[in-house]
Amino acid sequence: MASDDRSDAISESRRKYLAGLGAAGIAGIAGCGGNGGNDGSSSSSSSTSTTTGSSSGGSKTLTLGAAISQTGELSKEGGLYLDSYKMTIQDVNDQGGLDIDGTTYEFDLKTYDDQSDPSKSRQLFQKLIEEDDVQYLLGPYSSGVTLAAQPVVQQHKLPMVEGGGSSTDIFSDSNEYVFGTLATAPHYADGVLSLADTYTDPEVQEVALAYQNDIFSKGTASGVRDLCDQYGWDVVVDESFPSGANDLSSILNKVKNADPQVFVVAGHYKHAVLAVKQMKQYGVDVPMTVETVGATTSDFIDELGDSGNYVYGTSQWASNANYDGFFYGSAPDYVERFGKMYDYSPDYHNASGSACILTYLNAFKQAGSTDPGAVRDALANTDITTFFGSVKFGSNGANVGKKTVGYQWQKKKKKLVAPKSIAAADPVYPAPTWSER
Amino acid sequence: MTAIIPALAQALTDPSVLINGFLIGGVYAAMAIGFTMIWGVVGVINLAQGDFLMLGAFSTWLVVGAISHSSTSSFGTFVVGLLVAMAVVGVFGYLVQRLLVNRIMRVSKFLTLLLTFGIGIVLRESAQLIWSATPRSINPQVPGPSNYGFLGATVPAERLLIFLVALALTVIFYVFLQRTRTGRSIRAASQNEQAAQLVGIDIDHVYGVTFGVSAAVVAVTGGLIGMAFSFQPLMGNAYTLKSFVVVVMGGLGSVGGALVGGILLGLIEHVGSNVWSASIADAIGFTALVVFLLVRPYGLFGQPEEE
Repeated sequence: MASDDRSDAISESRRKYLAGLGAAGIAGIAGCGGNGGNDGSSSSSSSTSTTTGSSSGGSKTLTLGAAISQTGELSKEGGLYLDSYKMTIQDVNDQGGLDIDGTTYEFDLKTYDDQSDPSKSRQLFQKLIEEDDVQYLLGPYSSGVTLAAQPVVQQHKLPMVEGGGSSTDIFSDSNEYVFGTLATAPHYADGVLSLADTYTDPEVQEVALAYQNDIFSKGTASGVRDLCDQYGWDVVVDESFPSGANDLSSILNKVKNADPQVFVVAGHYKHAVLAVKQMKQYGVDVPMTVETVGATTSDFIDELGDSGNYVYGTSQWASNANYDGFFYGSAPDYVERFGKMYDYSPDYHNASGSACILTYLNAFKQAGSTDPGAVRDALANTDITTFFGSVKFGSNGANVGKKTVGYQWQKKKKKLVAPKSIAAADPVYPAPTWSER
Repeated sequence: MTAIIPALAQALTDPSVLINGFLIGGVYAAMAIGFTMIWGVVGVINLAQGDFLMLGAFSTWLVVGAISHSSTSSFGTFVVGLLVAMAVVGVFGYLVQRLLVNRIMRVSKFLTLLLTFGIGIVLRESAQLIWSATPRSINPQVPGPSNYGFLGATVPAERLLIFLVALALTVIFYVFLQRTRTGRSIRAASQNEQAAQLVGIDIDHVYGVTFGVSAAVVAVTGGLIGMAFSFQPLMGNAYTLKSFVVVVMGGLGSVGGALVGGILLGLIEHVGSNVWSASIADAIGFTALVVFLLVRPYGLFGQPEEE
């Protein structure tokens, strides 16, 4: 990020002078300490002083700004959002940008690395708004970091479209400026747990729940408890673990003793892998294991191999969903486009990140203005279908149109099993015991 | 309070709680041995110790990946990985002491804290740039069944293996200190630096070796943790802090103390997690640290300092 800081501090004329002297090299060296070359700084340097309507060649520029994790614990997911932001901005610009009142605008992206630190995120969003004059914000990753940034955008009355935070705490009644593309945390497990209600051999009566004690996972866990109430299941283990936990064996021992039919792990990737690994080590046999986050990435099955089979994961998005979506078309169309730019398959984080840009694109068109207030009002009235599914915000800014889907790993392949209306395979239930595998 | 007593009684009589606490304690012991030796002999609190452990995990993983082209491997490949990690991180530890720590340790002990803290940050951030923050694990095929039944408790093969290796490392380290010329030099240096120099011991080399051997031991522990749990560039801090607790419990500079302190911490954390919640396991460990500092500040095997 050092290259960003530096380039902003240097005046326009000084920058041009430095450019002649090989400023790129200087910036490259300055950026060595903080991922400088890969954080969007290249696109921001082309945007001159980054305000609404600044001129860049023949068109004007609308700068979208975000602080997002490029280092630290959340950098894996943060990187997925950043890749998507970059790709969709490039795609919008390649298709001629957007026309507002006869003026053509292109999107630009300005980013900082929040180092997975919520307090740093808050400072950086402040910097984006107050020093860099960015007026349209994109979200960081994780509910906790988004919550930390929220007061800044609220205070400045600027819109933020975010695809990485889904805690209900973000979408309180007083929220007017943050719009989230994801289904909210308590609904993460809805799709996959609706399957459990149909299982009869053995019938689901008892559920064990382990959740990370962060805002998002606590929200997911509360949704799971509500579902258990609704379906008449007993929650026989209800335990939290810290984000730094490297050992879940004491919780798994309780699960083993309680012998439930369903075990829900509400955490992130690290604990999704660790829980399955240690379930195998301890021979913890549960007919249905659900992991709300982290179990649908290809890394999950690469890391666990056959041990990852039969695990259910939830997702905000199915990459084979055949929506007739705005801009990209269907989900497979998006996947194809993504594959041309990156050497990995997009997951819902990527899709949600791209959906944020499309939501802004639609809002600018609907507003017919670059005024942040008008754009905010247009965002509040968003009602579009994208490759990511429906984007329609409730009065609190949450995407009320979004439904989650459920996958299960079968023979190391990820199969869409819920909801049944779009399922591509039948779920396997109960999972064979570890000794039978 | 009344609910805690039966829960505590249940945890203390549950073999699976006690056995698994005991076994995880072996891991804590293995990582604390190096920490206690550096502190006891060189007089430096190595705040990068956990990051040496992280380097050990990554070194093992790289070797396993290079040989088997996946994170799943044969047990032999894993052992080769551990040995390479031991050598590489050991040499790295020696160089860190000779080239960096040695230059300032006689100026101010406080500066060594800052230096090792800084080395830790450099290692962490570099690892993150190179390998990203994605948590990984190493999955060797440990010979025999995947877990064993013992007194009604399930004992995973990986955890048993870690404990046995930790025990072996402790014994080897103890024998090395007692029986080898270098080990005796280390002990002499820890007792009286000037007297050791007078009898011809190369103090700088001894300090370097202490760092190197400690780094080698913790590297093996890192590889084992990579097998039983998971590892990622930012894992180091948590393990450095745990090493600190173990050393305070066991007593400074004592290999046996590290073993007993490690097992004690493992048991306290596991019993506490079962009585209360896994989310406060660390808090329970650090509460034990405070109690030890108040009641027996020199630890179980340490000696009170004479004024």
